Amino acid sequence: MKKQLSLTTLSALTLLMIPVATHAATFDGNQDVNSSTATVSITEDTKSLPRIMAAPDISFGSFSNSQAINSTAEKITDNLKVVNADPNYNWTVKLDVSSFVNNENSDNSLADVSLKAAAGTVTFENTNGKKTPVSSALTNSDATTTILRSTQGATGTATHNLAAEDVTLSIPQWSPAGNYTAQLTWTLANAPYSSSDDRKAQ
Amino acid sequence: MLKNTPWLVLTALILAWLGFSQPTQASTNHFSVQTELPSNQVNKKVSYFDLKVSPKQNQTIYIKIKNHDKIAHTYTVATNLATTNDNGVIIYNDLRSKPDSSLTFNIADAVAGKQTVQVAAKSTKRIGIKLELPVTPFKGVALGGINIYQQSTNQDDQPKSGLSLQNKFGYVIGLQLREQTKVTVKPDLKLLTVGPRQVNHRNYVNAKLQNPHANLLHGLKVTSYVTKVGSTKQLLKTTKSQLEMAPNSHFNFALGDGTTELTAGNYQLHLKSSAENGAYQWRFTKKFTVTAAKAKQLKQTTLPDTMPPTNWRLIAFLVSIIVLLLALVIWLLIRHRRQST
Repeated sequence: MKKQLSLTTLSALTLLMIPVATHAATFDGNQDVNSSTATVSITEDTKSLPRIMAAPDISFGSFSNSQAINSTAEKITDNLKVVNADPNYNWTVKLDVSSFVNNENSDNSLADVSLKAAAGTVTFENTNGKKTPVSSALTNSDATTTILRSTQGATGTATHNLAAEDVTLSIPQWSPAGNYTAQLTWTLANAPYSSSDDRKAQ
Repeated sequence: MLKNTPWLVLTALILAWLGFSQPTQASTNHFSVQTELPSNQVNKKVSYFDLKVSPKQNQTIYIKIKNHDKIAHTYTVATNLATTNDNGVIIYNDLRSKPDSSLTFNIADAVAGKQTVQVAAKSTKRIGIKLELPVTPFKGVALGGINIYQQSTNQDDQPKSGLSLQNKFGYVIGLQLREQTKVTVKPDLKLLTVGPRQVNHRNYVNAKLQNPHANLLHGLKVTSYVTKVGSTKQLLKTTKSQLEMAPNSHFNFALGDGTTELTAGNYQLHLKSSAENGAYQWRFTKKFTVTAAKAKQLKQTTLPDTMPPTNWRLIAFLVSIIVLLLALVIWLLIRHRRQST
């Protein structure tokens, strides 16, 4: 009887494993639960240094690789926030999206993944009456994109707001299952064409 | 224990298949940078480096890194040539592409190599960057960027489950060198090549645009479309504005949204562009051919827009067998229990 039971159980489990083996891509969205605090503590500088204070934490739901994934974000916490008190500092925020690299084997990465984001909205706590910075959409995550651009001489705190439905992740069907991580690198650039008005200042 | 084993295994398998949400990296940045502008700064109304230099000149310029965090951090400081990427954005971290053929002076060759610096908690460090100008004079401007990135800590690198996004932060400070205070080089734009190109299994028509001169192109607008030769019907069209180009650089301007099938035939690109709010304008037309072999190759390697149909018969069959086997297991368990009692 025991042999019969074991054989039957084994058969059932083997069959149960079939869908698991073919649908086991569990792309799990991650959620930041860090208690991150954003404070400025400036003592030795005569003015606040321009700085990216924070960037959005974007998480996606869980997915199976049995079909192509084309999903909006599940949740976004935090916003891209830039502070600047220097009217000579005309900045842009550029975003680089790396490939999704397998956590267990860095030689493997997901192919043909696309991350897109709408331009969102910008709120600006203005300290010198200049115009609000301008945001742009992320349409091609294969190349660096300018996400936010200051206006000439503006000082204050700019916050770029993205809603969950503004961000879309696309992954082809049958991408290999596993745990993957991509880096979003937010770079504050202070360089020519941070504002096209740089030349007028000369 | 044996009686519970199938249910424990089944529960574990279901949980593994569904996956869980995991916490990601902190989203707060803990450092900032500042420049010390030297006396040879040309434009004093900007805070990036814009320096008037001479051939054979040696100079050390300084930046400051302030670590706002409660722990020490290590930073990488590296200066690279400014290039233009395929989004029409000037970037300062491209170490893979070859410099444009029109470039005569690569600013990265005149700047000391990558540095690694440690900054103690809640403190500021002054970093020197050495410049050594070549003997040969150069016209226009040479543009690069000083990239400053915080190196990851072990905590940052902890592997996560599922699909996760990690935020990283960095700064770029422009480094613009010129040997004449007033730049007299006029902006120019050239169309180098045109043809089909596949990116991420999507098909585009690619126009390779070049800024052949040593000055920046600001406020670039490109309006373009593709027709069959001899036809006026626009098959693909794309317009983009607020693009920018680094001095002596090129980029691939992609026409279309990647979904249009390119059949074999003779085509013509029509492209007009303007810069500096229309102060400079260019217009190009160029013919190109998509061969039958190329069209076939593009079609075969295109990502399908639609999923293959789901095999519901197979799914129904498998589900039926699973249900039958589960029923059999339950029946055997009940019979085994009755026989025992």
